[in-house]
Amino acid sequence: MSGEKKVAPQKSLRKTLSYKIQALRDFWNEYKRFKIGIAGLALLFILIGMAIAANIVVPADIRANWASNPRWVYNPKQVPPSWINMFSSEKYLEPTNLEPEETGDYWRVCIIQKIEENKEQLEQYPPDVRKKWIEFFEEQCKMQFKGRGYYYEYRFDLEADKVGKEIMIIIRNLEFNATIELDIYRPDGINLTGIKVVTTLKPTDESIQKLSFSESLASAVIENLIEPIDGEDAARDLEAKIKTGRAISPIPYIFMKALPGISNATTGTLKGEYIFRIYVKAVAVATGNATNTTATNITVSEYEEPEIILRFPGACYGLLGTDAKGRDNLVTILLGSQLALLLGFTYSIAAVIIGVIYGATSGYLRGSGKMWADEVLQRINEVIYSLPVLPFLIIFSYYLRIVYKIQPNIFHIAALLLIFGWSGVAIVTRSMALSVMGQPYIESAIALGARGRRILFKYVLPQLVPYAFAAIALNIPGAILMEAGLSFLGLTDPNMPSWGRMIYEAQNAIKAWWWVLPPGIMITITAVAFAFIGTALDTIVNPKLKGR
Amino acid sequence: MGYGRYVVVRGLNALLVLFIAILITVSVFSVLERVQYEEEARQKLMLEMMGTRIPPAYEYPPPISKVFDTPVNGSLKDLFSIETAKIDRINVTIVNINCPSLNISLLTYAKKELYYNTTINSGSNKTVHPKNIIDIIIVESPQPGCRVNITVKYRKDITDQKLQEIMKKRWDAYVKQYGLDVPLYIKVFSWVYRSLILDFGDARESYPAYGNTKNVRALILTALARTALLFTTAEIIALIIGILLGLLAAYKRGGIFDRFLSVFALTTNSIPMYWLGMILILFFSYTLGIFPPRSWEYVPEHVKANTSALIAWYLHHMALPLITIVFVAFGGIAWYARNIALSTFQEDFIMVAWAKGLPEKTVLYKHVLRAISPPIVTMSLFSVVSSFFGAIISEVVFQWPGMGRLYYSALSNTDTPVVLGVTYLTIMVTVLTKYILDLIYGFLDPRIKTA
Repeated sequence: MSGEKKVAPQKSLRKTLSYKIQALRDFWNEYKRFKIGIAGLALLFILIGMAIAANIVVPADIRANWASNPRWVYNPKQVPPSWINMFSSEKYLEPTNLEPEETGDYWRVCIIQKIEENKEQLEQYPPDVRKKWIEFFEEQCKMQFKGRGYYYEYRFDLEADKVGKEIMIIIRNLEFNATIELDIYRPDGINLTGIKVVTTLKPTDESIQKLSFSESLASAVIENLIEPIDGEDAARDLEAKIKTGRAISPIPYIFMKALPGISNATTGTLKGEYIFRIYVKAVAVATGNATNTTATNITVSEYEEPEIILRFPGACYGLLGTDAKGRDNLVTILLGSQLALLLGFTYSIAAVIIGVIYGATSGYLRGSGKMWADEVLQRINEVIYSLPVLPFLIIFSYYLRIVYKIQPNIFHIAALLLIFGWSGVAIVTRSMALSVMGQPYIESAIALGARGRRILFKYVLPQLVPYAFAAIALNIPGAILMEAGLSFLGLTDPNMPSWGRMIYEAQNAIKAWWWVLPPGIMITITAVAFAFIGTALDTIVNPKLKGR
Repeated sequence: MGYGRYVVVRGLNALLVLFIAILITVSVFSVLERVQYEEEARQKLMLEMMGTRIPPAYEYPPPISKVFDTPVNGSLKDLFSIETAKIDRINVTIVNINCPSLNISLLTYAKKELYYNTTINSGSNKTVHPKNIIDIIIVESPQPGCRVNITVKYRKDITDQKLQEIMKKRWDAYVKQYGLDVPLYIKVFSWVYRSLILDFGDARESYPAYGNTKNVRALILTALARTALLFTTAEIIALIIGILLGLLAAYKRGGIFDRFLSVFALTTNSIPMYWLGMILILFFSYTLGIFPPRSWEYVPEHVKANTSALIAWYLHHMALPLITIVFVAFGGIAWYARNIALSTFQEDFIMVAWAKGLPEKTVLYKHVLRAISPPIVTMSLFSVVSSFFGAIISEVVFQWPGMGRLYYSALSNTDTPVVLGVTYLTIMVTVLTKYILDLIYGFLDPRIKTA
């Protein structure tokens, strides 16, 4: 007896399961006929892939803090993607880190410098005298500079046409107070020497010195390159622009051909091997009291040698370039796909659930004879449906910002959208529910004594489920476009890496196509994907549209 | 009977919607206004109390003069204890010092100290807060030896408690001035009236692109006219193109063009209009150099004289925003027109017309077009009005000085009156136009008219 009882439900379970699978298969066969539906699904899979890739590719610290992540400091600002080199006749320098070719105690450089200074005189002497002189220089340098600092020599082989607007000196684990100086030797023999990068740098684990901020470098460029070639007036103009206006970076001038017109940056790039020499000189420590101070020299060999890297951030970066703050656009696009999908699904599912329940209830009430209740629900629905969404959304976001000091994020926006979003769904579901209520099987169910809630949940709502899926897909594009609109007006959280935010920030840099194009394309693709899927689903579940 | 009932029902509905819309916006406005006023009042009070603005004299005890006699050598320095806070409203007068040993640097030092330091030791250990100092006069002392007399005119020091009292008094005055003591619901009622006559007060910032006025109503009306110029032109073009293409697609249903149109309409509906504007600027202005990147510039004199040149100038400058709006809008309209036309093709009376053997042109122009034009026009206008707000956002990209740019600058300045005004007007325009079109549609559609 008991065995028989057990078998029966299993069989029926298998049967229902196979029915369900068959139904799904039928549905899929029908769906396959819609080319735009398939296209939409393909786009959706790409998007989901991007959202998953974002979690794998993007490091956790960037996901946690995208807006002002310390990593962005190393990147060049607002530069095109690296693959531009394949199409452009001008070559853009890729980000390069230079390790020192030679390092050593500073006094060795002193000898080389002294020999170079007195080259002509030394050549006139016989070899033995020359040797003596060199020994004398050595002793002098040792006395003056031994243990006072380090030098680092870098060779930079420039082949690109665009070098970028920045050079960085990255100093790691410096243990004493130091002055940092820089000499640049160009391939054409014009040298920029004695550039003071920092006068006193305190001991640090890592410090980044940006050369475009160095006034000393700017003066060196103007004195050695611009003034001798283009004259004083041009030099003065450029100096004003670089120093007071900070409108122009002095870095590109270092790499320009020394021909007339250099002050207008029209002479082109001088290719060849550049030598950068960085000196780290220890600063004497002041001891004693305020009235009687003595400077005590320190010996650098007592400390660990600092590590110094010369970084050229370059003039191109990654797959999609960077924005004005040096953020990788690819990272923003990937993170944006997560936000868009999150917002779209959160809002849309919630709106459809509310809308379907509201509409079904309304239709059921009318179908079961409670006209006034339906009338009230319908009035409320119609009022909300008639209000324009975006202005209300804007004023509510503004309200959040002013009154509660909240920068609206994805969930706030989803909640605000939800205030209006359900009403469209409710109107359609109400009419659907009404037609379901007119069916004979509802009448027979009522005749068999089914109560209201049973009719609503067992007979009416299941009929609306296919439409609900179509509505979910159809509601998503609007949400994504609304978020983009809000972000474009600058009303959303600036820490949120959304595509709309990206367009907002790129507004004043329209020429930076690598920054402007991707977010808009992504918004369009996402909206189109869901619109395609929704239209296909809608045509299947809504028999009225089939004839068209 | 039919249309009359329709008008009454829809009219009542419209009134209800308008009432709710006004109520929501107005309640939001009143809270925003209150918060803004509170902030303003608090800032003003802060400024007063910081000493940047000297409070009215009647609030404080009368000033007292006190003379300090100083020895020469460096003791001036001791007089002023060194703390850092800026105070710049004290007059320091140095008169008649004929003493070589009291060199000028000491006196400039004294002056500086008096200017910038917060406390002055006045003989005893009492300190005088600089906000209480009115005048400092340095004169050579009549006593033998190089000495100076420093006269410090100051008010009696205000204790914390007294300060609190004064602050409260001032705050109460501000509360009265800004109407913060009036209950919120009364404010809401007054706002209903104010919003009906579009009285949003004065803007907090000035917007030179919209004239010299600060009155929000004037600003918005100027902006609205310019937006209407751009938007209406664009929508008329979009309607013409869209309806023609839609009819074509319906006539050749199932063809390549028809299938392409649906995809195209869905795609253009998904493009953010402002982004498309940016791309068009990038392409047409920066790459090709055909159109100016900014749509609104001052008209040059030689153009102003010639009317046809002026129109050409305006068209040249309006071209990019026009292209943007038309491109985004016409696909949807065409799709809509196609669907309506298709359902009309399936109607019985068209079938009858075909069956009667009427020539194709007669069927198309006399029967189909006449039947579908009212719903297409009103429904397209529906969609146009709902896209109004999207279009004003894209004004920002082209620097077109209409509602959109005004809204954008107001939002970034947190200029609440202007934000309120623009939002209110947009909501009202949208809701009202929708209902007027609804009524017209009911009038034109015979099924509703006779129902």
